[in-house]
Amino acid sequence: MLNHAAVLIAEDEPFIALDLALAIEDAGGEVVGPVASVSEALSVLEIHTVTAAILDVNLTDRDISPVAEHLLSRGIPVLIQTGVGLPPELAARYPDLVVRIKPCPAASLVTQLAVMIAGHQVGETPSSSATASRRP
Amino acid sequence: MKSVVYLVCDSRGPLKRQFERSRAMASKSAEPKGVGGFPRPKRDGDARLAASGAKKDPKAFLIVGIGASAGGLEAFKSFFGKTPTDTGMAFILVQHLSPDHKSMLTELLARTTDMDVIEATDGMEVKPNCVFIIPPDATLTIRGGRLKVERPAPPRERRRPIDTFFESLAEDQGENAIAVILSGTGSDGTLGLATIKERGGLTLAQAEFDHHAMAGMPQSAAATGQVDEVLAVEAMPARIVAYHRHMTGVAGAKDGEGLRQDAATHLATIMGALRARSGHDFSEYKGKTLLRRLQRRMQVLQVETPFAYIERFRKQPEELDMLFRELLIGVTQFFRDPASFEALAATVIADLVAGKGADGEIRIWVPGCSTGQEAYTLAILIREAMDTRRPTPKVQIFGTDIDDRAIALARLGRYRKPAAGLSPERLERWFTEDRGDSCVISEIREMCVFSTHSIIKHPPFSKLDLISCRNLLIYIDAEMQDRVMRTFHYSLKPGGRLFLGSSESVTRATRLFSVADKKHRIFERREIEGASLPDLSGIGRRLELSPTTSAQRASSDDRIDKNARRVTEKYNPPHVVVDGSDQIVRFSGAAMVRYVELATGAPSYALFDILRKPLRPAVRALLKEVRASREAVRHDNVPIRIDGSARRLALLGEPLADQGPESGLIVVVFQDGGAATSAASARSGGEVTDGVKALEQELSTTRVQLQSTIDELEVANEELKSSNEEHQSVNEELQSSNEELETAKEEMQSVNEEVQTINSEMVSKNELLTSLNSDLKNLLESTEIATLFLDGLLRVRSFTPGVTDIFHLREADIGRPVTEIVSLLNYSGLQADVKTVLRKLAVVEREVTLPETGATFELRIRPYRTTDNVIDGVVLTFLDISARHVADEALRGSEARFRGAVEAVEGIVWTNNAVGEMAGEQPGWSALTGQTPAEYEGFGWAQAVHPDDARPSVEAWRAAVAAKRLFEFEHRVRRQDGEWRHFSIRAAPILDKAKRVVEWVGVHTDITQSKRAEEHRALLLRELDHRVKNLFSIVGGMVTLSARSATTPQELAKTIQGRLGALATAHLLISPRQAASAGADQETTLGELVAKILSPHIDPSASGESSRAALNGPEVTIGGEAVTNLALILHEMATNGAKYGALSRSGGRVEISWKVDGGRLILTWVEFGGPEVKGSPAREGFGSLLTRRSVGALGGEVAFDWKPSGLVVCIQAPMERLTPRRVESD
Repeated sequence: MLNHAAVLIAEDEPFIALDLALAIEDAGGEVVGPVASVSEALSVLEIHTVTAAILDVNLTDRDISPVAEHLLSRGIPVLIQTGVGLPPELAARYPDLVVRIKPCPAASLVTQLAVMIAGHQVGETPSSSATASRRP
Repeated sequence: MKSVVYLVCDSRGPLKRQFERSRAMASKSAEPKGVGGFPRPKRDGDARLAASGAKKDPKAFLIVGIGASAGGLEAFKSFFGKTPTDTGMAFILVQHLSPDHKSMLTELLARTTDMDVIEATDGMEVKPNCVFIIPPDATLTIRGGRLKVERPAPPRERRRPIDTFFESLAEDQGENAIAVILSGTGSDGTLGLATIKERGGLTLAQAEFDHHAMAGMPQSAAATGQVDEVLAVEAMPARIVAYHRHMTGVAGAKDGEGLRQDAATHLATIMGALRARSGHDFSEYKGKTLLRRLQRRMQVLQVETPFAYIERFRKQPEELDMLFRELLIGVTQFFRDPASFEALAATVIADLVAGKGADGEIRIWVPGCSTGQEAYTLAILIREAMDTRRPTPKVQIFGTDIDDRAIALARLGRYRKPAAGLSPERLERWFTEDRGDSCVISEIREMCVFSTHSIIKHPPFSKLDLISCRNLLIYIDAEMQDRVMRTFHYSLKPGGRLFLGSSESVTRATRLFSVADKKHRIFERREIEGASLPDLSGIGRRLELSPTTSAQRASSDDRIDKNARRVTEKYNPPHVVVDGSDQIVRFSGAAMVRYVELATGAPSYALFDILRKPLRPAVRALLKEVRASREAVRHDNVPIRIDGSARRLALLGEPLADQGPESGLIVVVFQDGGAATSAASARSGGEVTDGVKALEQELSTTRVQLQSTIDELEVANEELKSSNEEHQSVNEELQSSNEELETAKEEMQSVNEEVQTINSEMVSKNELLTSLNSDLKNLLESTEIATLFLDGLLRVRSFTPGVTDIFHLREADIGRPVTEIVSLLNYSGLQADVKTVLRKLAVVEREVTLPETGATFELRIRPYRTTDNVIDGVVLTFLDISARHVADEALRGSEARFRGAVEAVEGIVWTNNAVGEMAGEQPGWSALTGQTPAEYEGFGWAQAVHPDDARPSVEAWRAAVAAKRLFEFEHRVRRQDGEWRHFSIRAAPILDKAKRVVEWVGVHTDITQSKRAEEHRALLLRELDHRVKNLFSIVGGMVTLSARSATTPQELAKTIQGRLGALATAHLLISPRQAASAGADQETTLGELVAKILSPHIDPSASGESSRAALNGPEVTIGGEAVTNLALILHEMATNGAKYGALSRSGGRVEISWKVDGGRLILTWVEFGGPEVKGSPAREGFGSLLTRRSVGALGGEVAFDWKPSGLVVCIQAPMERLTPRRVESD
């Protein structure tokens, strides 16, 4: 389903991170990470090129904003899952960011990510598909 | 004025008249000067008089200066008691006041008169109908109608406040000044009063017979003759008012300069009469001066017309004496006639100074020095001449005058400015300025000695270098001049100089003095024989006796006597009368020529100068015998050859008893005994030789005797001279000490006056104290506070009537110890309490009750402090507080209720006015915010509201006020301590009957606490929400993951259960339990966590040696999310161990040890006794994967070592990730 797309997983909860990683592998994707901290994520991104990313908001060292901005500025689809919501600044800058509230089954996340990647590749407008997908 | 009318011809005839004329001429050019006993006509007062006359203006009013000292208060009271309040005059009081004593004169006098009584201040304008009083420690003067107050007063010995004021008053007001001298000791005021009189003012002095007078001051003033009237103090006001009326009455008769033309026409007549009466001619003096003097005299007498005045002195000739004195005023000045003084300095003084060494002495006499200017002038000249010389000789200048007032002034050395005749340089150098006066510096002052002395009556000074006697001789007659010149001759040293006035000369005494400088009248003493000091004692007697003797002679010399004497004279033997020094006093008739012969040279009356030489030894012997025996002596048969014939004479000598034996007058009678007989002469032929021999023998003996007598005489004379010198020096010393005594006396007098003044004030004060005392007594009695005064020994000093209710006290008990007096109180500690008060000087308070009546008293014991703060006993006050007790209780109850209410409300109440503005006292709001009424007024309260809330608050409040509805709001208010507090506000309008808003009442309730609690709850809720969501995610992941590895549902369930258990353990360990630590996770230790996680896998029954797990490591605090991760890691390892490892078998053990090294936690998991491990597994198990991920999430690393003996796991993680981390409220 993911067709070997490289997906960055940033999640500090080992169970969730492993579950997601396995779910992405199950869907035919390649897992980058999972990383538990922003610094780890940024250093990984220097080496790897990713197709998409699933990001938790609060990592061990700080909130996800630098990673999200890094990816979004490169037009890479980003799916946020959070228990608490977005940092206000990030929400203000990227009002169309796709956000899922925890708890959220890994399979469902992977499915949505696949749709986002597909939409991104087809229309080159990740935001439109993301916007649509925000209204389940 | 040039014509002089001689109304009475002098008995001495033409000679006297000639002298008068020469005097008149002299006085044209001579400067008048004060001479003891001689007129000192005033001339230079004209300019000043004219000035004071010119500034007269119609609005001017009289200013009465009143001086008093001791006893003055009473005199002032009497004076003002009789003074009308609308006199149109101003009164200025000058008194001797102690500088450090506050005068109460102002208030004391204000009670006596209705006029304004004002203490003088500097620059105050003098107004009519007011009384001004000198302030203490000040010099009061007046200038331009304004008072001048200078502080401080001069030192006591120089303080003459009345003189000073009167002098300024005279200068400022002239004729409008009145001087009044009232009771006082000393002489202050005398000189000032004279000045007032000199300027035309009225002068009065208090009469001696006044019952409360201290007579010193008024007497001193009256003694000068300058007082117009001596009156009882009560009569003075009327006299002053009458004077004023007369003055305004005659104002019309005066011309522009204030001179009365009608008087001028009669001036000549009056002056003629004056000359006749006094013998002094004032015709050469300026008419204006005379006129002013005359006018003043008329003013004083209140005589309206010149005719009336002439009438007056015809009836009372003494009035002319008064007028005469009016015209005599002493005037002299420094360097009068500067050219002469310069000449004197250049010659005489220069020589004098040059001729003296350090031990030399310059002695100068200034007779008739008046107020001392001439003496000081000489002192200055000498001092200037000595400037360049070292060492300086001693200088003594004797200034004498018979006028003791003038001498007193000379001693002061103090001259009113401007001191005439002084150049600015000399003024600067030799004078100091003191309150407008020029004072001679002490260096000059010490050169001069002043004393009262009469040149005629008293022995003169001697051994003088210079006598300066200027303008004195012109006032004395020729005979007196002659005597004075002889005196001067005697006084001067050989070569001494005499310095006379420009119009004086020594024409009559050229024998005694030679001219040294004719132009400047400097003369030199001639060295001559026979000059002697005139008989001073004789002068006095002659002056006294001559009128009587001549009168007697006139009466007895009747015609018969005269004729009889003429007849008998022919038969009288020739005789002479000689005095004690053999001077001939009387000759008998012509027959006497036979016995005398005239010698060439100056005529002489000495008997032995003119007696025929042959007679001289015989007469000398006769006189000697008469003087020795004091009886008549007769020498017969004295042979004498007269005109070639030998005669025999009988010589008789007899003292004139009638004239008294002391007179030394002796009559020597020459009786012709006929021609010596030839027989006698023949007979004597033989005898002659014998007789001659005998006589010669006798003569030589006599000569020897004579010589020795002469020697003795000379010795005696020398002794007399030296003792005379001693007397002179003693005299001078006495003069000096006299001066010192004078000064001391003045000082004493001044102190005495002050003491008197203080005394009279003390008396008044005493009266005040008495009245205050009675006030105090009434106060004490009316307060109804029982008060008891005790002394240090507890003896009753005094008490108020109220005390008798408490103690059985009577008046007679004063002085008894209070302990002996029966007290009705239930109080035994009195003695001890009083001692405490006296020891600690603190107030002791007690509540005592009277058991009898049940009354309660508050007893206060205070130390009794005298006004000078000395403790002298105690004061006990008993205040009845029975009623207060009840009131106190009630008050306490209400206060407590109120406090409770306020505390219960926990808020403040405020009011706003009808239009919603804060106003008035808002104690609650003030206390809360610290704002003052000015700050919170209107909408000022918004300043104390949080800036974010202020605007909404004001808007909401305005809306509520507009709508008149209940106002409910919340905002933050800055408390007084600066802290922001949350308040909820409720305010409601108070309506009147017409439904109009009267005011708003609001309550601020502090809700800060509940607000905080609310926020805290919200935070906790968010946190919980987050955790739950996270937990669900984890559980979701866990289930999915567990399902991947589980083979059976049972296994799945067990796995999930185990993992959930680990999660639950972690949660239990770290979940926040208290509200206070909201958001902060609980901390725990690694050891605790390990034990908890392992416990399900270890047989709880096994312990000690057989324990399957060994924990070893230091206490490491861990917290936060890391705990969850660690719990999962440990759980996975324990599960793995239990399933496949050491814990799967009994006897298998696991050792867990940890340490912190370099900020990293190193944890080692070692298994023993399990099944043999056959290398690392081919595929990483899920457990180790999870472990690896979890450690990775902690930023750490994990290493697995599958040793055959058992698994060894080593975990490393940074400590910073393991310690508690505050969860952001994201």
